[in-house]
Amino acid sequence: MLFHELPTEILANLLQMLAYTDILSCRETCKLLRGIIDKSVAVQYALELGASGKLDNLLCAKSNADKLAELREVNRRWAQFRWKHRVGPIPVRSFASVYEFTGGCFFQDLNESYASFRTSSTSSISWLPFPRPNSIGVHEWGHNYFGFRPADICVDVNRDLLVVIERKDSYDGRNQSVICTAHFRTISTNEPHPDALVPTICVCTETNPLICDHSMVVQLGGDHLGLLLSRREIDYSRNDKLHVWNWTNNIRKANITTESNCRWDSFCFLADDAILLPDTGLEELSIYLLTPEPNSIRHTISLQLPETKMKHAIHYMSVRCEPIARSPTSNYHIPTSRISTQTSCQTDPHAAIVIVAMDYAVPTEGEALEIDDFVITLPDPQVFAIKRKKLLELAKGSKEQQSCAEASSSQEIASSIEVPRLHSREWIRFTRWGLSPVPARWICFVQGSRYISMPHRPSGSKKKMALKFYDFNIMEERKAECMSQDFLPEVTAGAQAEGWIEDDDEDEEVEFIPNEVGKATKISTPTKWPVKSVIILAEPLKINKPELFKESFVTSLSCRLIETEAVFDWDSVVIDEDHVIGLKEGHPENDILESLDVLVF
Amino acid sequence: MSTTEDKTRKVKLVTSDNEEFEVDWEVATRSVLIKHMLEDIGESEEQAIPLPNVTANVLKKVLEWCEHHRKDPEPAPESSDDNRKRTLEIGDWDAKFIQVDQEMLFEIILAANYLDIKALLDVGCKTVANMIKGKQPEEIRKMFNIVNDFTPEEEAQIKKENEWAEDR
Repeated sequence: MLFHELPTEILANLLQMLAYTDILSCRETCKLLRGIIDKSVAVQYALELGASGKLDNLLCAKSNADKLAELREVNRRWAQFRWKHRVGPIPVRSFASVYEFTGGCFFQDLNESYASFRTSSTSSISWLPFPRPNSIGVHEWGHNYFGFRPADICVDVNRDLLVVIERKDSYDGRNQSVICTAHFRTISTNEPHPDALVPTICVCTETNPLICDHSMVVQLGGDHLGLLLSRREIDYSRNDKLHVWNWTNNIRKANITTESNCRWDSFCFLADDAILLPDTGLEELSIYLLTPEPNSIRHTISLQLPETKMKHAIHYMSVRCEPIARSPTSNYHIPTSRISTQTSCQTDPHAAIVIVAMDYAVPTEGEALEIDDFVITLPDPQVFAIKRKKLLELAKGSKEQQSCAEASSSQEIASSIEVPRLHSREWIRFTRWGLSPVPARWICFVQGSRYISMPHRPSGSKKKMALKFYDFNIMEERKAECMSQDFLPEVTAGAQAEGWIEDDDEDEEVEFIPNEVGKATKISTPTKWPVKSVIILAEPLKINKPELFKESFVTSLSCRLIETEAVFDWDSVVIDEDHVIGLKEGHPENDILESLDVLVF
Repeated sequence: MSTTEDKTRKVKLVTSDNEEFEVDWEVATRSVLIKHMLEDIGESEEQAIPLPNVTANVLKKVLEWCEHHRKDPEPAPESSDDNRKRTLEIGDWDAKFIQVDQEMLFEIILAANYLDIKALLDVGCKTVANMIKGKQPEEIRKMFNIVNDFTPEEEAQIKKENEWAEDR
């Protein structure tokens, strides 16, 4: 008996177990397999979900056809940019200094004693689920109370996990010290999280002059919690420090410090066991891998950034990617009546993008400032999108090489192994990154393979802002271009620019009904995005900017870029599968409430 | 029927090449097909069950699997379907068990499908999927003796159609 003699339904069953790339390889082998792949709905489904960088949510009980329809609907909504409902503004209590948007929820801290001018009270984290597209209604705030003031928070909604960082600064007249403690609670019941071995971990204790006046970045990568303490100003007498703990077994994974010339401003998890830590000082992207052993962090590779002709050094480098999408393995759910975050498709963490943003420095002393009419012109920051999967492949590939080297030389000392450094020309081509220079300081947020950004608005300004959406998930266009009509009949090539400009009447400004504090109001009139332009970059981009880069290079991460008119009076903006959420900050002087706009597609 | 009775009860199976196998009820009913047939004929009958689509050497192998997995809990219904398909990992014993030549592998898959033994069908399909994983079309053809029946034009067309996923 031969492979192709197996019954069609068995072959179809077998093919849908494969990654979409393998399905496509099979499609190239013979007519029989091509026929099965093209005719089986289930295989088509696996192919399309895979190609769109989507995985099934294991908890979703919907049928395959429904899931696929949902995926297509989400993509259609993103392609056409019409929102169905605008909910808000939802007033946010002022004095919140820490907030987090994730998994369809908005979390903020609230220092009650500060807000109500009482002397002794507790702080709380308040959270608000965003309305889902099909269930617009008033949603209640949830509150979790603590006996301390949170310095930062971090959440994993899939696991019902809320991590609150408590920071104690003290000064005894000679020494300053900082103690950071992480508290692991459930969001829904505010109890110690069942997965945490201990409910609190003292992440770090630092004393002067090492650490005071540092800013903090906290990230969750599955079972790992990372905390970066980073200098606010360039001060070579101090260091930046990264602490990583496995919070489920209370094992310290990392306690590493910058060496001279190095600087860490930001980091993110590429996977549960991989950290991307850009080095602003050396202008490199460093990747660190973790193993289950204590203190097992290992610098595996450094990727040099393309050389630019910038006169100024990189001043600040940040990386952003969606928090690691964990497949929920057990029943950690916030009751769905309160939060409903379960959509049927979740982003494949390996298909998602990482955004690297680089700010260039204000010229340092000794250099002349460029002054145009008393305005200092700063060099434009650069924003890059890189596929997360490719970064991981580079890191893991280099780790294998290292362990081979280790085995042959039988050397135990890890530090003696030199970390491979890849020059940009060696890795940019095959990591396929997209590049877009953006003006001024921009705020950006990543969700899977999409990101949104808007310019930074000076505090207290009433200026209206324009948004830019970058969507790297444009499989539809590529398919429409490359595939015959009968292969994917339902994906129409028409999901393109024409749809966005239609019926330009009733360009109504959305008005908001005055509402009570804490209650959302909805305006159900379908409203269009004020789209200004749509550019589809489906072909490989040749980045050849003699004014910017020393060497030209090719990048081929195709994307759809949508710019809107300047109509949003927001200070920051985030996205998830179904929402665009704008946060308007209160003016610090006149004590007005902040507000959230939730736009639902 | 009571469970104590089930444990001691034997079932007779007859293959297409007329070989007779006597196995425990618990082992035989790993196969949903046999289970349903037993329910149909009733427990009192000592009738042999004919399996005209399975040969003795394949059934022997399939029963070896059933014997090892006799105590496994019933597979969960459809809800865990996606979970099952998501990972191509195979248990240690199953991985050893399925180390057979291609001919036998496909026969086992076919028999598992006919006898309706979902877990075994999965092991077989995952094994084949693992063989395909990461291979180029030419390598796949070579592995399974597939004849390339495309004309050069058709092949070029398919390559072009698959180009959108060139990031493979």
